[in-house]
Amino acid sequence: MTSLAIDRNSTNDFHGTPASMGVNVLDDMLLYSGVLPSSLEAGLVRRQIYDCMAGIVPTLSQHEYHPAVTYWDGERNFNILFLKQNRHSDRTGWVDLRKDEPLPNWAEISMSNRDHLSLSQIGEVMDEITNSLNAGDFSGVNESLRHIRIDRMSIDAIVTVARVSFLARNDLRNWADFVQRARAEIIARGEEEENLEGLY
Amino acid sequence: LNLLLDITEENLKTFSFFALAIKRVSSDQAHCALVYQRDSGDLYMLHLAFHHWLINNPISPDYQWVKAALTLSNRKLLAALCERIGARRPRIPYGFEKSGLTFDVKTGALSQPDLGHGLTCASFILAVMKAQGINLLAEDEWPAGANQGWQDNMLELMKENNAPQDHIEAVRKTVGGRRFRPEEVVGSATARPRPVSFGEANRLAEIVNRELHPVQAN
Repeated sequence: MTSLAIDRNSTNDFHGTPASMGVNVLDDMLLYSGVLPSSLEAGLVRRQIYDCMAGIVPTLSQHEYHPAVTYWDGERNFNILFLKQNRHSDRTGWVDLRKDEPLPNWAEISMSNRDHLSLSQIGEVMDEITNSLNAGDFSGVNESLRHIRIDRMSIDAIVTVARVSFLARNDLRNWADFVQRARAEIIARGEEEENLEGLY
Repeated sequence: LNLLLDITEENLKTFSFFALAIKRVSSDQAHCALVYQRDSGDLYMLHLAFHHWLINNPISPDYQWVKAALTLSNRKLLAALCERIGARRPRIPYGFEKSGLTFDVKTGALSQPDLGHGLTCASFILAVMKAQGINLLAEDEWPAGANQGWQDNMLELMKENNAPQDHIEAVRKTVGGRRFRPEEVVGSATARPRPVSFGEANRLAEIVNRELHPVQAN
C-alpha cells in the first residue's frame, strides 16, 4: 500500500508558490513511486493531498509543510520518501529514509483502496475524465482506462471512472475491458457487483 | 414498515447522498423529485415542475421520501450529477417522448432534443439515472396508449402555461406513447434487481399511493 504524508512542522526550503510547488513536488514523487502524474489515479492522489493540507495547514506558506510518499516495502518495512531540495533536483536529490514507524509530525493520508471519496473528490475525477472527453481526447482516456491500476483504486473511484465515461463508451475501445477488469476486482474484494449495474 | 418516510430531522439521519421524493398534487396526480446531498452537506431537491421549469431548492417538508436501493458509490455519483444539473439549470422541455435526451456529466447540460421530445417529472428521474448507466425500469414492458387521457390533459396545461405552439403541436404527435408514473418511479427506486418490471413497478406504485399523504390544503 502506498500512502502519502505531510510534515506539519517542516522548515524545508522549497521554491515557488505553495500551490504550484505542491503540484510539482507531488508529480515528481508520484513518478518516482510509479504513478504517472497525468493519470486518473494521480488526480485522486493530488486531491487527497490538497484536502489534507487544507485540513491541517489552513494558511500555507512555502516553508510550512513538506509532502512525502510513505509505503510498505516488500519486507514490510515502513519507508518515507521525500524530495530533499526542490523540484528541479534530479533523481539524486531524492532521499529514501528507512523508518520503522512514521514520525509523529507526519500526517498520513491513507491511499488504501478501501477508502471512500468525498463528493468533491468525485467531482475532481468527473472533471478529469470529462475534460479529456469534451476535448475529443479519446485516445488519452483510452490509455488511462487501459493502464489504470484498478487494484489501487477505491470502489468510489472505480465506479466514478466507469460511469462518467459510460456515455462515451462507443468511442472508447478500452471501456468495456475496463469495466470487466473493474467487475473482477470488485468481486475479488467481496464488494457489491451492483456498483457497476447496467454497465455490462 | 412504510416505504415512504416523512421529511423529518429524525428520518433524515438515515439519508445517504441520494434519494427520491414524492407528494400528491391532486387526488389522482402525484409529483416526484430527486433529493441529493450537495458538496456543502445541504440537502436539495431537483425536479422538473413543467415546461422549461427545473427546480433546485432546499429540501421541502411537504414531500415524502424513499431510500434508493443503490450502492453507496452509485448514490454519491448521482448526487454529484444532480448538483451539476442543479447548478446548470438546463431548459428542459416538457414532453412524453424522452428518446435522445441525456445529460452532460461534466456540465449538467441537456443534449439538444428533437422538437416535441421532452421529459416529465418521472422521466426526468429516469434520464438522470440513465446518464450514469442505471436503468431503473424495464421500459419496453410499459404499454403504449394507456394514458392518453392524462397526456391530453397535460397538453391543455401546456397551452394554459404558454408553452410554444410548435412544441405543443410536436408533443401532440407523441400522445399515446409510454407514460411512467411518479408512483412507479419512486416505488421502483426501492427495489432490486433492476430494471424493475412493469408488474413489480405497479405493485410498488400501489403501496406508494396508499402511503402518500392527502393533498395539503394551502
